[in-house]
Amino acid sequence: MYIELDDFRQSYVVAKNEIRKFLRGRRFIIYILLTVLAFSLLTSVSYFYEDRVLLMFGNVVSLYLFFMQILIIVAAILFASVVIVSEFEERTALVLFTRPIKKTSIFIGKMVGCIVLETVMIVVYYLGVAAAALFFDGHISEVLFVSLGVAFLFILATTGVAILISSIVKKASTSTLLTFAFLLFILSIVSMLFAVSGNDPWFMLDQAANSIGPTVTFEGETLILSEPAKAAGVMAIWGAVTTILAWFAFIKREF
Amino acid sequence: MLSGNPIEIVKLRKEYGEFVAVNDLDLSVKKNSFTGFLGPNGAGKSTTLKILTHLINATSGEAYINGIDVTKDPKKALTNVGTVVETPEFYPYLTPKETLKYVGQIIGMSPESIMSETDRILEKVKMAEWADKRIGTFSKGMRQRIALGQALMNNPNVIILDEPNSGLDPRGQAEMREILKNLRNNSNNLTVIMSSHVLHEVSDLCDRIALINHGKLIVHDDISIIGKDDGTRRMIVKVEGIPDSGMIERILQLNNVVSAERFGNDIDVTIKGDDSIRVKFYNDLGALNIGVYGVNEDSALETTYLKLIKESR
Repeated sequence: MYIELDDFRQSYVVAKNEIRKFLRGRRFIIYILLTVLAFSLLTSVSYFYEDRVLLMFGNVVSLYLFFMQILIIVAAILFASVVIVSEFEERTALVLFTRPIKKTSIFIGKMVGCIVLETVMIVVYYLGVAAAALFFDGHISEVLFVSLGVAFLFILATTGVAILISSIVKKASTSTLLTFAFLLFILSIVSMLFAVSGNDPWFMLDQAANSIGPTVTFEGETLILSEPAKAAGVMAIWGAVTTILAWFAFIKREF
Repeated sequence: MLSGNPIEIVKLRKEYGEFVAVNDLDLSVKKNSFTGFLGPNGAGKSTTLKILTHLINATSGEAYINGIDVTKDPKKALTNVGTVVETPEFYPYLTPKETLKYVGQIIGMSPESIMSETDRILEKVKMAEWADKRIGTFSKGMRQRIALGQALMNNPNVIILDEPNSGLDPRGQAEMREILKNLRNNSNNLTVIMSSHVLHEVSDLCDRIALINHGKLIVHDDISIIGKDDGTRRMIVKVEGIPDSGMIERILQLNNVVSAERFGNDIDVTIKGDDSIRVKFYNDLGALNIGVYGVNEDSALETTYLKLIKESR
């Protein structure tokens, strides 16, 4: 197998089309509405009950970041979980795949399209959190930037998981449901099984995701992320492994 | 040794477990021909065309397009190829213009040529007035015309069509046939291979025929040779009520009748002879007074097709 510059150009064309697809679709509107609703509710709670928020979360920013992993998981469910399977189910593959383009270029384009869209939306959310931090705390902690970095790696990992499921199953609805189940409770149940059997489930994706939001401290307003480097490593490995498996499943898949 | 023809299939094989869909198929499609790719359901037509268009992988063998093996380097092999496989769907959120632009960008066409080609092609497939409407609202026939349009982007020298009329209503089929006919008549350097079940469509459009069954090539020649009238003609004789053995026996005793057998509520008759023999047969059939109210005669191509398929079982 050889790689040409043209392969990347084609991936860029596919990625652009994926982003356009999502921007014109209903899922994007649903996601925007959910995010705006979540942000508005959190801001209202922070504004009207600031004292109680500080007591529970140590910092207003912690409250906003507490739900970050859910927002990222929802993005993976809405966008990445259908990105491959819909080409087969909706028969659009009959046009795209019969063109002079490597399947790897299609895969990269679709993956990059999802990641770019999810990242932009999460960055916008973080900008909102930064504005809230300025409003409530009067400053922006550097922890917010570290959290953003870890959140980006969580996007890679959840997108990898969702695209892997999307590359294997036959229906978009099945893929969405499986991604939802896997990311929202199967991972947690497995982690719990490890924990109750006396093993630290530090390598599980849901455990690593806890590092996106600051740990609650009662030592003033200091924000602390729990072992962000270790969490980033776990997420990077989850992202890499699931992406490689998804790529393999995709290039072997026949119409 | 390759012949230099635009499509060359050499010992192509596709297995699904125990089932052999394409059985060491050899086929060479002549340059500038419009070849009808025929065969009964399950003969291996679609599988062969899907291997040619890289939608599925071959178990073994080679499939060359413009001298490049699609099983080894699909990207290069498909560079100058347009395809319509079955009834493809399009992203419903795109307009025909955006769809053709997307395909043009994938192929690597310049923005200027994408623009000029898009207008030309939409005109050609009679979709110009729908150029800026979203495809999601289109009928199947309109989407199939877009499918043909995207296949024509960048003037390919090979077009692969897998049952392009399947699922279309009679009007859609007629429109599609008209566009394909124009394409055939107005292109100098174009080789088309088209699978179809509709024999009159094939005889209307194609100058050559490749017939396969059980994944093997049965015959491949000019339509004028394959569809040549050898004097054998199959016809379905429609009679009042249910045909009995006495009726069939009496038909069999007529001159030049090769075979006669019950075919549902009708009688399947094969006769051998020229036009004057057929005139005599019709007169004799009427004289039998067995309540004949109609006769459907197969075309020469249909008769040959059925004969060859029967022989290859």
